[in-house]
Amino acid sequence: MPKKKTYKQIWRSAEEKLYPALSQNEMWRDGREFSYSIEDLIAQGLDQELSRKKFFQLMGASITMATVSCVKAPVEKIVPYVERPLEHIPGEAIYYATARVTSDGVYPILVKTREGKPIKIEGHRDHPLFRGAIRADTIATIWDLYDPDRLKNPLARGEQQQWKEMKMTELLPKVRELLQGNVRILGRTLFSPSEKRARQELAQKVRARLITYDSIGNILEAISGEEASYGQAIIPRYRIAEAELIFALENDFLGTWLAPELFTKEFSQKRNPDGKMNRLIVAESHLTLTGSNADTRLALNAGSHLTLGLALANLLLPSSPLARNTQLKNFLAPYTVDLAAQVTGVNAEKIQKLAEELGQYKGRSLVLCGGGSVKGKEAGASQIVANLLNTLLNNEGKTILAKNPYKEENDLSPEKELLALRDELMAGKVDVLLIDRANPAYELSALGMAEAIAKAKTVIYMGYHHNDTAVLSHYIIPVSHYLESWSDGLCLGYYSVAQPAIRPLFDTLGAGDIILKLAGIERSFADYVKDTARKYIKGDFATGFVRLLSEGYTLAESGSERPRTFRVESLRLVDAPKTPQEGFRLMLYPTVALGDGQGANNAFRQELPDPISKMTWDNYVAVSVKDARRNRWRMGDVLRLDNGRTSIEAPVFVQPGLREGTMAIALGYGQKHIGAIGSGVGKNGYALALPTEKGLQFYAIPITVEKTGKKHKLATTQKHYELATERGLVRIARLQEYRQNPRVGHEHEEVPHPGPDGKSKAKGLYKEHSYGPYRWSLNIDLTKCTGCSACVVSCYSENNIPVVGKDDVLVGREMSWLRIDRYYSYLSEQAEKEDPDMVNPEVFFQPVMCQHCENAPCENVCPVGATGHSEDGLNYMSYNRCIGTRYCQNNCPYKVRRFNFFEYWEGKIRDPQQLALNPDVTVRSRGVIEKCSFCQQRISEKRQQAKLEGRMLKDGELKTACQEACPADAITFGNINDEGSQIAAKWRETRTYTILSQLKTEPAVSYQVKIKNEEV
Amino acid sequence: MVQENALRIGKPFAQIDGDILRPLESFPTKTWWIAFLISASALAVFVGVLIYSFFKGLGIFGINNPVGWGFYIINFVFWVGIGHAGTLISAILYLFRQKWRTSINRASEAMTIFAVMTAAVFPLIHVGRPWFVYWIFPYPNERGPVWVNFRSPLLWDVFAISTYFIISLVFWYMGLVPDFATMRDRLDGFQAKTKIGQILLDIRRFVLRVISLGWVGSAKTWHHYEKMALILSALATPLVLSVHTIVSFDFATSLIPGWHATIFPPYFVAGAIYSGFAMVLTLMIIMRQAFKMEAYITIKHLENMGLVILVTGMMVSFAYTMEFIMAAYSGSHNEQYVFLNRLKGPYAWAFWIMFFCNVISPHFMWFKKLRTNIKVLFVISIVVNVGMWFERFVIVVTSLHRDYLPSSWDMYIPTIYDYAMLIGSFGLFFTMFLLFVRAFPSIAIAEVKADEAGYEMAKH
Repeated sequence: MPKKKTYKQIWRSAEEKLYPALSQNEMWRDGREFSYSIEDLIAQGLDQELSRKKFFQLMGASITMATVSCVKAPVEKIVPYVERPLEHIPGEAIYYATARVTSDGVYPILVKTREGKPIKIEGHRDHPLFRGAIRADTIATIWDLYDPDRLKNPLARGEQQQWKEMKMTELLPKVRELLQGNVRILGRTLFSPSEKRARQELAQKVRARLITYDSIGNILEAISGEEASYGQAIIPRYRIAEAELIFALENDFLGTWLAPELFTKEFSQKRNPDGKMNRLIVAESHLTLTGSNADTRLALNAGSHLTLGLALANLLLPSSPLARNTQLKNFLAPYTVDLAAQVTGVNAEKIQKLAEELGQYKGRSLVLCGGGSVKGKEAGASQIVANLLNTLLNNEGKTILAKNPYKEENDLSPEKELLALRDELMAGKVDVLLIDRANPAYELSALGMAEAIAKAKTVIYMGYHHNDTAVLSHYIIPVSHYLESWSDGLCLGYYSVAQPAIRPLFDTLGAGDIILKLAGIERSFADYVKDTARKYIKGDFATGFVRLLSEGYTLAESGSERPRTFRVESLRLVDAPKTPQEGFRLMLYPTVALGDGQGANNAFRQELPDPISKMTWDNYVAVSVKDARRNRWRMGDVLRLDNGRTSIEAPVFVQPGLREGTMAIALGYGQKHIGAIGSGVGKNGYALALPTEKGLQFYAIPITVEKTGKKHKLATTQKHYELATERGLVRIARLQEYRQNPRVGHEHEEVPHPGPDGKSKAKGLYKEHSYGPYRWSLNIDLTKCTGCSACVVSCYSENNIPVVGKDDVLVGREMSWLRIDRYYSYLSEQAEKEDPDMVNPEVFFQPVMCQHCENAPCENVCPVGATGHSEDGLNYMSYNRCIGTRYCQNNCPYKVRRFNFFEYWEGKIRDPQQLALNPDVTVRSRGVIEKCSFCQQRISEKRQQAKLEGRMLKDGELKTACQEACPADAITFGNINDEGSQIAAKWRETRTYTILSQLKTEPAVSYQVKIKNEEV
Repeated sequence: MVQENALRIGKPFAQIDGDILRPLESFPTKTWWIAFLISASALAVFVGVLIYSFFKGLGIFGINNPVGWGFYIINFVFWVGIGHAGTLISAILYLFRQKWRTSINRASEAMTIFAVMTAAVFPLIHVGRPWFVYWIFPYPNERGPVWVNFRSPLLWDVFAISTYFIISLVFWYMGLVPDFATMRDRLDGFQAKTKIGQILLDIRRFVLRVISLGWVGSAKTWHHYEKMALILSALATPLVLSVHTIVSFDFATSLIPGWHATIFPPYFVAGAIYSGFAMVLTLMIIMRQAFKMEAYITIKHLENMGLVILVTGMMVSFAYTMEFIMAAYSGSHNEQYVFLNRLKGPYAWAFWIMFFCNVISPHFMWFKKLRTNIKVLFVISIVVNVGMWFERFVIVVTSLHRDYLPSSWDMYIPTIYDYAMLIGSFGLFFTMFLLFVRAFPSIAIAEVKADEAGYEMAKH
């Protein structure tokens, strides 16, 4: 056979083929592609007697060319790397280790960047303490970076009160000159030693007084209490993982207190029903995330937790080291069990039992009390009670360590200084007020701070948003996002550096740099960070600092392990009520999604359903079932709440888990100004805080309530309907039951009919799937899952899921690929009967995403075959093929498929939000169905990598976005074709079950029965 | 014979032609214009909302996460159901030699075609990306080629409905051929007064000459014609049963409780005939009143249709009962819940409307006095169709809005656009129907005359 000639040669014209010697240019006249320059032509024309027609032709052409091609091309920086950094391969993600430093703590993170843009925040996997733990709020900060409503330029108020844009280089010198006379700096507490130093230097330079405060009071409450009890102003390290019994008294450590991600990590570590399982007892008035995860939850009357704490102390005293302390004995004497039962509403027997149980776990337990929702008149009272209990239980030095504390020093001003500042402002004594990243006009609205600020002669605001405080100011200095600037943090014995991952998107500057420039210090803030780092880097600084940057943290041990001694005198600050409450009492609490409200202009936070109420885009007054029933309040009825000084109107939400008379409203909402998204969403809970002579009271605020007759639409993603009976979804068992019967929870399972011979397996109509080497599967341990919602936000961020807004959530069109179903139930019929007012129901969380069924009901019904089954066990969705019949959505028994009812991205996205999109994931258009893909892009990435290296993927090498975000390590993902994998082991465990297994959908997602460590 | 007396018209053939063709050969009446304007405005609303939804997205309608199908699919099933009576009357009753069908078969076939057309619009426009809707047709393409999914009941729908539509159309047209010839021949008696009139007349003459396919009315032609009618009837008969059977598969083959039921095919077919006959009844009563065709569409015809409604109504009631019994018997909580939810859930009102309209109202037909009273028949015919629309509402919405996972339960609240599309679909249907009565003989002249001749012969 003659060899086939390959046609390598290609040509574009006959000339090219015929005269290959001619170069391309030579083929054209004069060796130029465009031979005619206008001068040439005119010259030619003159030679050739330019005709009138030709002249006009030329003129027309020249005008066109002059207007079109000679315009300077607009500068569009579409390629970030003109010169590519040496080690960077486009298309591959680079991770930077950094930290998010807030006024509540230091949270180590990894920033995933693609082509120079941060696209996702992940937990720092290698951090020895956090081990990848991250919370919803931190993941959502990626959209804060790309918030189109962020302050983009410095602003100065003109003569007619209008805002004038300025350049940073112009404004800073101007503001510096202004910092004269009676200057006050108002800011938040800081975890950054370098920022703290810079701020102090600024205060010294301009002879200003620095006042710091804590908006929700987490830090204030803890550190004041510690200072009073032990004389040492630190927040110690709580070793949740070491505690076998945790008693959280009005403390939401799994949801909103200090570092909930770390606490969740440590808590879940001991949440193992097959080993030594810890026990969580929660006594609280408002149902928090911690309370909903309690093994035993005692609902309290609002404002009675101190009484309960002291009564427990009274019971524990005789067997404690302080038994002989008469001062203590006398102090505790009035707090008897009966009194506590009367005040708290909890059964006396239960209190007694609780005390006995606490007594059994001496040195192995941990009592936590305090946090935003218990900030009282006297800051620290709750913490003192916790300290007393911990001392009586001998936990100091064991589960609580002063070594490597959470916060090393108290940089908070006493609250009375805040009151003094207000008075000064009101008296017009303050010339210049510099506000550093705080929002006092909103957060301290109960103190009348907005009116006071308006009285200052000059107000300089530095911050992120044009918020309620910014509108009162004269100069606004925009602060860079933490991913754009340098900072550092010191927490729990680790020093972390927050390094910029991107150059500032706008004309902004890092807070540290602004402060230094205002102080007239000609150094960059990065140098300050280096100065601080010098303290913790041993050996050569240059290499050490590079290492610090690449690792993100270094050891910074401090404090001593010696147990501290409790000062009984501190108890005089504790003013526990001795009579039961009367009337309605309001609790103010921060939410998982919005916290203190700084991040309110972030649609992803707003649309994250509250873990308990599943509410989006609103706050509400949570009222007890009994009150709602008695007063005929329905969800959405607007109530007027009056604390005697101010009143607000807010919609009702009937919340199980509350005692009669207790009400709660979330903080962080109701900001008048912050941006297009957050402005005017919800009601301002801060306004109802009760100002006292010593500070603001956030809990048990006596209020009067009045129904207004108005209605407000509340957008929950999960509605309250009549109780649905057991459907095999909610499976809870007690530890004891599980130990006796490992197959507990499987009793009422519906199974497909086995056939007449009892053996024949129900067969499908179509032939079974065949799988390749991989078959992916996912397992969720419901014992570990706390419902914290980090997975939900991580999923949004990873998979470019749009938010839809309140109107569409109201109609039921939220797009979440992964949702957390929340059910209330009771462990027994008796328990249900005993609790007609739903004061103590069990709360059950179940994250549900696409179950990737083997017999997927959605695959069959798609007329165009847009969804199918891949050979690695994924139920894939090809968006390009989908025409949007929504048949799959209807036929999915898990209802995990989401339809794009409108165009949510194209034309809707506001610059620079598009930068937050994950380039590996298709952005879906209007009219197609989408759903969880098991993070197909992550699978592909890792699989290709393994393929290049000529190996199979290792177990655990690959993590889905939800799994990676889960601080509780509740999610396992892997290849079930690999017998030795963790996921295969999970499938073999007796606790494993699938939901709706009776339908024979054979899901690839399984769940594990929730085990509660509670006695029968 | 009794039948003979009741159905005999007793008019000369020429007068029959004249009576039936009067609406075609005279200027439309005021009533027609009013009716046409109303229908056309409703149609305009339909088109307007449709265009708006194309630009804006399906989000303007009330559908949401658990309830992915709303008014669009309800309307679709409703109109397909309506489209059942025509072929049943013309094919099945033809095969059974039910002579009374001749006066009503033409209009009911037309109704079938328009109803199927109205119905077919909905699945095409209810998709998220209607510009790609042609992907549901299996045709050779350069995208792979990507083929359709033959396991999907929606694809079966495509085949079932298009087949049904084509057969119905052919059947209808074939029946029209002798009448077109009559019209063509009658044109000889017309003379135009103006030049334009002459042109129009010529066009009309030409068109009729073409569409009457050179009909000469010879014995041989008639022989072929009868054979063809028989064959087409035999072909169309199974389709009457298959279309709604397959439409019911959309629901029956899914696994949503309330949908997943083996009773669905016969239940849907019975329901379709039920609603179809009710619609025929409504239209016939209007037509005979408006065009003074009492002699052709007699009370006997109406009574017979009333009886069909009674029978199919009871079949439908039986199906409803069986659904509840099966749910109770199944022992499956999910199944039971869906039916309890229908009885007393948030959409119980829809269920009870359906129950009253479909289960109770047909029983009035037991009484001869009522079923021969035109007013009563008219009211019942409308009530039945309201009921049948609600039946589809109950099936689609109540099953979807609360299925397996209580966490996903939600409500379906139709928007103003949903209602506009519902009203608009009636606009589309009636516009076509009103044009039909003006352009085609709405009673099969040839068949009526043939029957009449038969009676005459029998008399001798």
